[in-house]
Amino acid sequence: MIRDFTLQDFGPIANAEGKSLGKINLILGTNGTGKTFLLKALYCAIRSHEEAHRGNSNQDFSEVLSDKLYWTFQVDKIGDIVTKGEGRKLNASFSMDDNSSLVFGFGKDTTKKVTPTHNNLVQRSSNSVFLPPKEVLSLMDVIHKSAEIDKIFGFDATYSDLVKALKLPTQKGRNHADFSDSCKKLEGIFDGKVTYEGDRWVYKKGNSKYSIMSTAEGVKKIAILDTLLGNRFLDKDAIVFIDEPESALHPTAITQLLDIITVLAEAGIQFFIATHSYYVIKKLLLVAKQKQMPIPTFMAQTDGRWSQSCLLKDGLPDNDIINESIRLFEAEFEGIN
Amino acid sequence: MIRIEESGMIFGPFDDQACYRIEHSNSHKSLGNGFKMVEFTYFDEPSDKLWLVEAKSSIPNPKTDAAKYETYFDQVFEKFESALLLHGTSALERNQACFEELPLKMKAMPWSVLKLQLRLVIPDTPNEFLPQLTDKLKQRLQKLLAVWRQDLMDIKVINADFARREGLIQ
Repeated sequence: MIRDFTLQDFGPIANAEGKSLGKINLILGTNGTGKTFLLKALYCAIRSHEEAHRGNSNQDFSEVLSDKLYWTFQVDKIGDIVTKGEGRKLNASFSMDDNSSLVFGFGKDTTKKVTPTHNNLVQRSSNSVFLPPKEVLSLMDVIHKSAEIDKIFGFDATYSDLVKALKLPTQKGRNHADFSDSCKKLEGIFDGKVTYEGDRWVYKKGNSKYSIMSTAEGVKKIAILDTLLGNRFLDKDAIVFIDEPESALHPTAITQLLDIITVLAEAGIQFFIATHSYYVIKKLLLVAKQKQMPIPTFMAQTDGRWSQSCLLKDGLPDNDIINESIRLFEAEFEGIN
Repeated sequence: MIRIEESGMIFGPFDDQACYRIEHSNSHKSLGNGFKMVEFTYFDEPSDKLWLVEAKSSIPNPKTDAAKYETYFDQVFEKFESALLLHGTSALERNQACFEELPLKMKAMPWSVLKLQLRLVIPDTPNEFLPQLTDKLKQRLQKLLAVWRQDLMDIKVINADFARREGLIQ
């Protein structure tokens, strides 16, 4: 589990610090403030560490991290990730709950290689995964060809990594009880199951089978989490980054998904959730209160700096999701006489 | 048992040892003019909840009189703030008059864990207006949330149906 992080001059992020992170962490901000950047920065660091030390891999961490940054942010040279401006230098540090940590930094002239100034992260057998706003099941072949064979920009590393994770076959045998229950609940949301059969994904509902291409976007999104739990890519120490969980989902499905995320978080998985949704923040506020769960909440300020508060202790920070909802209401409301 | 008639609703019945008609209390009157006050407070001992209830029969139209609409929420803020101050100063023994007149069960409320339930009850408000009105009220009461602890304070605008469900009216 990631415990703390610091990001400085990381794209649109001038300064963001996260302390005592929770099992669920919420990221808020208007468009262009760097919510996805923040998620991807955390993902790059932790996923690079996981990949560099896996099995018989002889790649050093520096190579994997450089590669991950390049293919995630898809820039001409790595230095282009640094915030624009004279004398700026990107700095990033991450600490895990076992007190191990990683520190790296680079300037705008860096082309290919990033060398950490400190890295004593303990090897992880668990995985982290990034779930983008759009589903990927119907585009898996396209993503694979574009990213892995043709090696062209378009689908970034978060997409190609997700595709690799989804290709793992479903594991037989007993899964963690909370995970198998969550799979059932996820399948319950859309009353069916998406499985990989032969060489294609199909959506099964009752005795009927449907092509994945004609399956609703929301069904496919939910099926991604279901698949990653079913094939054991995610275990109790996994870290999941979700960018806009609300995308393509009905409000009822959003709150059902967040109920499942809460169960998974209580079972050990750490979540980072970036959102624009009224339903997501309202539901997480309720979860914080009902479970007495301190949910660290990060809010982008206009100057690129980020503030941290606690959803349980401080409530929702002043934010445009609520403000706009009130504004629209007041534009229509005619009072009560 | 106490029943309180306000804004076309009859609140209660409440245990008279746990309900304080704070608006008409001597402590409120003793503060002089200029202190707006909620209708009543009620301590539910088993749940450690202190209910602070303000009843209104109307809300101004924000489109035709934005200033009046904003003032309405300012005044509601002032009422809740005054009620909490009066209760708080009584608990701290800085307001002997209030402490002496408090109903018996309210004299020893567990303030460190007390869950404060702030309710603005407007009986005829349609359900679909309640979430945004609640958000609006929470925004206006942000200072109270910060001072009195967010996790121990619950703020809602409710209608007669929800007031019935919460046991405030029959």
